[in-house]
Formats: sequence, structure tokens, C-alpha cells
Amino acid sequence: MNPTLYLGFATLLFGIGLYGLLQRRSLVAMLISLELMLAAVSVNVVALTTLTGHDASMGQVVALILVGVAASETAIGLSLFVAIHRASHSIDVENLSELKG
Amino acid sequence: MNGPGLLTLLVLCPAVGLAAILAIPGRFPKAIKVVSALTGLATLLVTGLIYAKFDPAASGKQLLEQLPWIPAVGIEWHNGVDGISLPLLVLTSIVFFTGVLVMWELKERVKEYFAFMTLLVTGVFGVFMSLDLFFFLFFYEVAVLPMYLLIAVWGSTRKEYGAMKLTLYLLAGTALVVPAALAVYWAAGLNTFDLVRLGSVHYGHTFQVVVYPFLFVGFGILAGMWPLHTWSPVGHVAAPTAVSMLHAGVLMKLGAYGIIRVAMTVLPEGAHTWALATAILATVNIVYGAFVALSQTDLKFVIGFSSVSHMGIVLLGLSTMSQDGINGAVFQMFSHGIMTALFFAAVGFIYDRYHTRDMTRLGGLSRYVPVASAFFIVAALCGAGVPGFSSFWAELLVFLGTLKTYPVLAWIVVFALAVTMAYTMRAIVVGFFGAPHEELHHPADISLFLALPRGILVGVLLVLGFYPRLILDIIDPATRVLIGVLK
Amino acid sequence: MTGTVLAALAAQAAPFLACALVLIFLRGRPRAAAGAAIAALTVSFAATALLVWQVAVPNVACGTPPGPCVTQALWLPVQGGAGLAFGVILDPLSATMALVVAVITLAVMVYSTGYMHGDPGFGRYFGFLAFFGWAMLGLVLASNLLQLLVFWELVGLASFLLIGFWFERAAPAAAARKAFIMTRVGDVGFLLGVLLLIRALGVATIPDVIAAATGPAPAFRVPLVAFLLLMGVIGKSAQGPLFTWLPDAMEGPTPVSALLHSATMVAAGVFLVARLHGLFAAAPAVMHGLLLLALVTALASATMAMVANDIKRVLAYSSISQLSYMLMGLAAGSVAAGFFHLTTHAGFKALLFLASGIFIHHAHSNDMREIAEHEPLSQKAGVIGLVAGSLALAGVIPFAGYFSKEAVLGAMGEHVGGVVLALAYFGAGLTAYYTFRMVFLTLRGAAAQAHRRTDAPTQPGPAAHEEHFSKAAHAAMAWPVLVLAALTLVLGYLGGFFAVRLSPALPHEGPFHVGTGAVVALALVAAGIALAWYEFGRAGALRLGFAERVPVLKSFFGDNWYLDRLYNATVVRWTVALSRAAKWNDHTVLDGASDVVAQGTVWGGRILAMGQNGFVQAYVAVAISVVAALGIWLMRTGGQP
Repeated sequence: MNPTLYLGFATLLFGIGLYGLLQRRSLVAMLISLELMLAAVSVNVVALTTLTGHDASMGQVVALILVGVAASETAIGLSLFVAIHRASHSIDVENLSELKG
Repeated sequence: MNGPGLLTLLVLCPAVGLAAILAIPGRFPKAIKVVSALTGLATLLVTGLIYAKFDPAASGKQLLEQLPWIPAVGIEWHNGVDGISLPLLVLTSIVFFTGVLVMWELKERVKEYFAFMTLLVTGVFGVFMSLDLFFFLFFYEVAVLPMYLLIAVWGSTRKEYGAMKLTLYLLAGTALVVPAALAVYWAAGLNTFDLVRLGSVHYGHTFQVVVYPFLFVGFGILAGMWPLHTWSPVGHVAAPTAVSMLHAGVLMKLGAYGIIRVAMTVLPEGAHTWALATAILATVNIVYGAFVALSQTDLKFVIGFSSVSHMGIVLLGLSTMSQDGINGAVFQMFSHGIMTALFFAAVGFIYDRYHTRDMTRLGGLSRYVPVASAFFIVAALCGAGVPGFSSFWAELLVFLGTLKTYPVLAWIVVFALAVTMAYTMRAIVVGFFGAPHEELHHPADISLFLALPRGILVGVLLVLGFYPRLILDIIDPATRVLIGVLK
Repeated sequence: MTGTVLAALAAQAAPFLACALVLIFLRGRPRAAAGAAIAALTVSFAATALLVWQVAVPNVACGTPPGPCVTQALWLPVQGGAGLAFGVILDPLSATMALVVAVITLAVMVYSTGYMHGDPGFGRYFGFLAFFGWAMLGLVLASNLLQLLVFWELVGLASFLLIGFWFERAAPAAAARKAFIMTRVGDVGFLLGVLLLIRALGVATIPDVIAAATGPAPAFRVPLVAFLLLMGVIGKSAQGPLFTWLPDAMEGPTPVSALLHSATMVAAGVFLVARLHGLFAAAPAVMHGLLLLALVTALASATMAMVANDIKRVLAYSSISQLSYMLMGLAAGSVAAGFFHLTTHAGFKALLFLASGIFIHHAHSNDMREIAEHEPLSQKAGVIGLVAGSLALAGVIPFAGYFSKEAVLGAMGEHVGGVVLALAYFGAGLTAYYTFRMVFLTLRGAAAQAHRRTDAPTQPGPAAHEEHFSKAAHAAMAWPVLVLAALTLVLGYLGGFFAVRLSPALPHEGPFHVGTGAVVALALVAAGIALAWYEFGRAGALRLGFAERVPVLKSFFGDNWYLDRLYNATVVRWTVALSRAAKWNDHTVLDGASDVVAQGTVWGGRILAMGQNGFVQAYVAVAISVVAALGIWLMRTGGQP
């Protein structure tokens, strides 16, 4: 089978996620976009390992690990956002630029 | 391979002193000062022992110690002395000891001050004895970096600016030296930092001509080479007394020593190619330094620019690459070191009592504090090249060497002696002669205890002024070896 | 020979030890200090007398061709040669000069116990005098030019310390500074000359240097070296362009002026020319130049002496003038004539200074007109000294100055003619004029107008201890004067002694031979004295010299021929300008450059910091783009960068 379809789908997904990461102002929306990018990566890994004759189980394990990583990252990120909201009453990323040079 | 001996002991003395000072709580300043003085005495003793064991007639480095340190890259704990480094070790211990005594009245942050001072001196000793390029540069940095804090915290006029400028300039010098040193290391292909072995390699002519300026200029910055000398007077003025003594008396010699030990020994062809250029720069040092000194009103600035001028004599002697020139240069390194230490010690006392160094506001000091003034006058006369003091012989040898190699420069430099006398006379007559200003008070003259370190320095200048063979018999054989390398 | 070498060393060692002893331990003990110094100089006197007896009188010589005896020992290693050496040179010239130095120094020291009595710096004074004695004797007895140079500089240092002895006053401090700087300008040339000689000849004794210069193919350029050495002479002996420090040096105590600035230190330049006469003779053009320069100096300083009212300044200008005569004699080829005049001059000029010191002390002023109002004739020793010295200086037979000046003029007559010679004789007449102007102004007192002007500085002298000034102090000042006065009657007969030993090749007649030159000179001297008597000496005289009556001349002669003004407007101004320019360069150009670098670094940092705008999304965008670009590039190059 041709992995191209899956790679293309993953690229599309990655592109949508990247666009959302760079374009959205809300921190939560950025997080959602980030999840999309991670999902795209998972699709890529599974597709490549399954459809090109390599060990399929490795790819699926990676995908599962990624799910775990995404989950913990989401948890931490959301708690940080709650703290930020408490401190500055906004989760608009345009307002969070104090670490500038 | 010989194990650690007297030289390692010498570098350990201030290191142990440092540890002791750090161990004493800060609320016992007297104890800290006593420990520092004892450390100074210890270094004097050890250098005395080294001097006694040194055989001037034997060529090559003596009291060798060689231990592997990081064999994978060829770094060794490798020390030795020859006729050029021995006087400098003696100079350092003398200036260190007298410097400690001169700062006896220090009140603020005594512990930190003496800790940094001993750290600095450790670095200096390490440089002068090291025959391994890595440790040479390592100790070089150890000697330079504490200067920043010593000046910025305990200094006076524009101390933050002075400290910053000094450190940045000196680090710029290091930034030139380190790549060049590494280039040498790689070009030699011997996987060793041993200066002796690096010196025996024949590097390509183009390589030498390109790399030598980096080494010369990089070390030359510390030696006060024109036009990169402006850190020196500002730094001198800003620094507290003993730090000025160490800085002008010893640290600037590190630069010249680096030129001898690293630049000239390892890249002799480069040295020859650039000799005329460096001689001209050195001549500018001498003349320019003298002229600028003539316009200064702050006594310490006069001394600072006079140091620039006198280091020019050292650099000129080295540039002639002749027996007399190099003998004179090394002698001048020692003599000027003692003389300028005396200068700063003398001015330091005056500043402590009068809180000004402006000679137009001082005036007539010889009446109120005759002995303290006499110390300054003696140093000034030594700097002007009056016979009876060691500088006369050192300068004579350099002039002789220059006359044989670069006659035109010799004429210029000898005529510059008149300008030197002019600024010397101005400092003495305006600052110390004449009637005292009304607003000057009449403190007690310098005490015997404080006069002791200054008196020691005067004594050294006189002894060598009357019998220069004492030091020249040591320097001469080493210079002969160096000339052989330079051929 | 070793006995005489030991004597020479002892003559130097004694004052050195005294100097060290006094300056370190005895500064607060005036009597002990004076005692140590005088004892040391007595030893030097005895030693140098021995030298004269053993070396000068029997006219001892060493080596072939016969020359001075030199003993040297190595001191300093120098490349390519045996090194630099210290030693002793013994011949009639050095022995006699050493004796002169010792005698005058001793006399001045004895005199100073009176003159400087009560001065708070008494101990320091005697320490410095002993230091000078050591340095001057070292200079005279030095066996090679480097050693001579060392002592030459030390003598200059002694001069600085002694001129500026009363350093709390601005005038002596400034005078000391001027002296040291001016002589250093000359000494720079001297140093170069010596360096050239060392480069060519290595360690060479003075006879070797002369032999090399007069030999067939000298290893160095003789005229150049001669000229450079002469620069030192011009500075030290206050000739030509470098003379103006000497009149100012009169700010020092009068005994110092007597010792250093008339008899010995300034004569060191003359001594050097005599010592190296063979070398200078091998550069005749340079010698001729020296002669002309000395002539101009002689006449110029005589004119300055004619209008000065400060008795010490008159004597200072007179010293310059007489030094010129010595140099003219040497330049004319006669070591004997030049050195003879040096010896007699040392005697009578020291006498004149010490005598004037008695008057200055008595009247508390240097101004001759004020001295005249304080019963000068009551100071008997002073009067005797002043008159005897003046007769010698003016060149009246049978006083010493007559014989030595005759020798000089006679030597010149053999060598030059015409205008130059005539001017030299004219100078002798001027000498007599200003000398007796001084005598009459000082001694012919209360007559006519009381000139209250004080354009001469008041010598502070010791504190006003007039009433407590003991008999002993008076005697200490009187006896040296009387002894020196007696000497001026005797010294004149040494002409033959010197002629035989120093210039054996030149013809000489006995002292009682009075040729045409002598007659002319005596006539001019008589005319000068007569004019002085007419203008100053006789009752009802105007007491105003012919030169002083012309304002232009008075200000020109009275202000060092405007030479100081010229120097201030040129050399000093240019040096200060150069100095300021260098300082400006340091502050503005060099520091400016490093400041620009520093600022540039800071701005560079600020520019780069603009990229850190704090927006996460921008950062992510940049990171992604870079990684993407990297990835594409890697893919293009097949994974091998």
C-alpha cells in the first residue's frame, strides 16, 4: 500500500495545527493546535512503520507514548494557563511579552 | 621527570595564605593582615631559597618540575626558572610583601581584599614559573581577573570605569593570545603544551609572520603598548595603593614576559620580521608617555604615564633582539617594577593623609612630611635615570642595544630623556617644593612602620644602582640562550 | 703605583661615607654633621695633596707613548666587549684638579659652619655638600667616559639639591628645576656621544679613546662625537644657549654658589675638554665653533654683569665669562692655558663669593647698593677678600688672574687673529670694568641718592641672628676668605708648572715675560678700572654705568639678552603644546576609539535584542522556518552536509 496518502494527510493535519499555533490568540486554542500537530506526527510514524515493511509494533508504541506525552503536556499547560489567568486576567498571548530583549 | 619542588612551594604559599585568610572570620582584620604579611615573608623566603639554589653559569631552565596533568591533550604541570624569570619572581615577592605592609591601615572589607590580593599573586607566580602554555594562560587569567574587583570595590577616582576598562582591555588581549596559542599548538602537531618543545619546532615563515602579531599585541596590551595603553593610567589611578603597586610593578611585566617566553621563543622568525614595527611602537610609547605625563595634575596620572613610557623602554629593548637590549629590558622590568611600586607607595601615603593627589593643591609637602616626600623624590629621580639607582644601568643597556640596531630610534629616545626630566621636575617642584598652601594641614610624618616597606624598595634600587652585576650576572646567560634561539 | 690609587680611592670614599652618615643619622645633629663632613674633606685634602706630590709634581706618566696612568676593574657586562669598568686615572691634570676641588670644598665647608649657622636644614646641607664632594672627585678621577658620565649626572643632582636647598621658597625651587632641566638638555647630547663611543670602542679608558680618535682610522665619527660631548659642556659650563640657569642658581646659599657655580661644578665642562683634548683637537672645525661660541658668551655675559645690581648675579655672569675664556684657551690648543685659568679662577671666584657672602650676611641683602648702606667697610675680611679677588679677576699684575688670562690670550694669539683676538682682549677690559663697578658700588657707601629699589632678591640667609652670631661663626667665615686671598697672590706663578706638564709641546715663557699682548691687556684693564672709578668710585659719581643709562641696553643686558623670553616663547611653548596634544590624543582619539567600540558593542546588542520581542508565536515561527529550511537543504544534498 502507498503511504503517500497517509503522509499527505499527516502533513495537512500538521499544517492546520501550525497555522492555528501561529495564528490564534487564545492560549487554549494554541494548545489545541499543538495537539493537532502531535496527532499528525503520530499518524506519520504509524503510517511509515506499518506500510514500509518495518516493525509495525514500534510505530504503534511510539504513537501510544505520544498520547501519554500529549496528555501530560496538556495537563501542565492548562494549569499554567489557569495561573496566568489568575495573574493577568487574560489568556491572550499578545499580552504576554514581558520576556522581551 | 622531577616532582614538585621549590617552585610548586612558591605558588602554594599564597594559595595556602588565601585559604588561611578565608578561614579567618572577617571581624579579625588584624589577624588577616598578619597572615598576609607572613605569607609575603614566606614568598620572600622561598624566592630567596630559589635564588640560592640557582646557578647562573648553567644554561637552560633550572629547578625543573614536570608532572603529567591531562595527558590526552598534552597538558603538564611543568615549571622551571631561568635567568629571566628568576628576577621577576624575586620582584613579585618583594612587591607583594611591601604591598601588604603598605595597606596596613585598610579598614573596609579587609578579608576580601587580602583574599583577592593573594589570589592575584598566586596567578603571577604561576605565570613566571610555568613552562606549559596551558598553565601559563591559566595563571595569566588568575592574575588578571581579581584586578576587576580589587579596583571596583576598594579603588578611588572613577573606580568602576577604571576597573571595567582595565579588565576589558586585558581580556581583549587574552582574546588575541588564546587563538594564537592554540594555532601554535595545532601547527606544532606534537600534542603538547610544553613551551620548550613548542619552541623547538620550526614553523612556516608565513605562519610565524601572521601569528606573531596576535601574540605580541595580545601580550603587549598588558605591557602597556601604544596605542592600546589607555587602560593603564586610568586603572592605576583608580586602584588602591597596593593594587597599583602590583599592577604597574608586576602585572605589566607579565605582558612583556609573555612576549619573551611565548612570542619570541616560539616564533623567532615572526619576531624578526616584526622587529622594526615593534621598535617604532615602543619608541612612541617612550616619547608619547613622557609628553602626556607633562600635562597631568594628578600625581598618580604622572606615574601612570611614566610607567607607559618606561615600559616602552622594555619593549624597545626586546625589539632590538640584541644581548644588551634584552639584558637591559629584563633589568628594566625589575628596576621599573621596584621603582613604580615605590612611587605608588609614596603617593598612597600622601593621598591617605590629604585626600587629594592634585599637585597644584598639594605643593610644599616637603615641609610638612619630609620623609614621605623624600620617598617620592627618590622614585622620581630614579625614573629620570639618575645614576646611583638601578634604572640608569637598565636604560643605558637598552639605549646601547638600540643604538646598534636602530640608531635613529636611539637618538629619538635619548632626546626624550629631556622631556622625562621635565615632567619629573614638574612633579617634584610643583607638588613638593614651594610654600605649603594654607588649606593643607600638617599631619605627622610617615611612621617607621609605614616607612619600612618604602625603605626596602629604596634600598633595592640603591643596591642595584651601585652594583648592577648582582642582577645582570643572572640575566646575561639566559639572554645569551634567548639570542641563540632568535638567530 | 698602588699607593696613589689608594689615595685616589680614599679621596672619594671619605666624602661618600660622610654623606651617607650625615644624611641617614646626623641630620638632626648640626655640629656632628659639620664635623663629619669637614673631617672627610680633610682626608680628601690630604689624599689629593699626596696625589699632587706623587703624580703632578714629578710629572708621572705611564705606558708608551707616555700618558695618564689608568687602573680599572670590570663593573657591568656588555655584549661583545669586556664590559663597562670603573677605575682611576692619575696624571698631573686629574691630580691637580682633584686638589683644587678638595681645597675649595673644604674651605666652603668651614665657611658654611658660620654662614649657615642656625639654619634648620644645617645637617642636610652638610650631607649634600659631602655628596657633591664625592661626586666631583669621582668625576675628576674617572678613568673612562661612562664613569665620568655617571659622576657628571650626580654632580648635576647635587646642584639641584643645593640650589633648591631652601625649597620652601618658590624662587630657589624654580631655579633648581630650571638648572636640572637645562643641564639635562646638554647632558642628553653628552650621553649620546658616550654611547657612540661605547658602541665603537667598548670599554675604553680615556687615553684609549683619545688614541682611537687621533689614530689613522677612527672607529667613530670624531666631529659628531666631539659635538655631542660639547653639548654636555655647554650645558654644564653655562655657555651659549644653555647659560641662563646659572644666574638663577644664585638662589642657593652663597657658599654653594662659591663651590658649585663658580669654582668646581661648572668647571667640569672645561675639565672635560681638557681631559679629552686629543679627541677635540682631531675635530678642528668643532673646536673653532667652540671658540667662537665661547667668545660670544664671554662678551654677552660681561655686558650682563655690567648692569646687574645683585652682587651674586654679577659674580655669576662673571663666572660664565671666565669659563668662556678657559674654553677659548682650550679651543686655541693650549690645555695648560685653559686649565691654568680654571685653577686661578677657582681660587679667586670662590674668594669673591665667600667675601660677598660676608657682606650679604651683614646687610641681609644681595643688592650692592643696600650693602653699601650698611657700613661695608666694617667687614674687614670681606673687604680684603673682595678687593683681592677683584684685582685677580680683573687681571691686575701680580695677582693670579693676570697670569692665567695672559696665558689664555697668548694661546689665542698663536691660533686666531684679527677681530676674534681683538674682541677677546676687549672682553678683558670689560671684565675689569664690571669687576670694579662691583667693588665701588659695594664699598663706596652712603654717598648721594639712596636707591631704595629692590630689583635684586633678598638672600634670606640664616635667620636674623645678628646679635647671637658668635665670634666663632664670624671667624669661620673670615679665615677661609683670608686664606684664599693669600692664595690669589701665589697661584699666578703656577703657569710654568702647568705649561710643562699639560702642554709640553707648546712654547712658553716665564711669568715675568711681558710681551705686547700683556701690555695691551694691562692697558685695557687699566682703562676699564678707570672708567669704573669715574662712574662709580670717585666722590660725587653718578653711580650709574654707561650701559645702564641707555634703557634699551639696560633691559636687554639685564634680562639675559632676552634668551629666557625666547625660550619661553618657543621651546617651552612648543613642548607644552605637544604635551597637550598628546593628552588630547589620549583622551579624545584613543579613548574615543575604545569608547566607540564599546558603544558599538552595546548598540549591536540592542539591535540583536530587537529580535527578542517576547511573542512566543514569533519565536515558534522562526524556529519552524529554520528547521524547515535545514530540512529542505539536507534533503537536497542527500543527507550529507
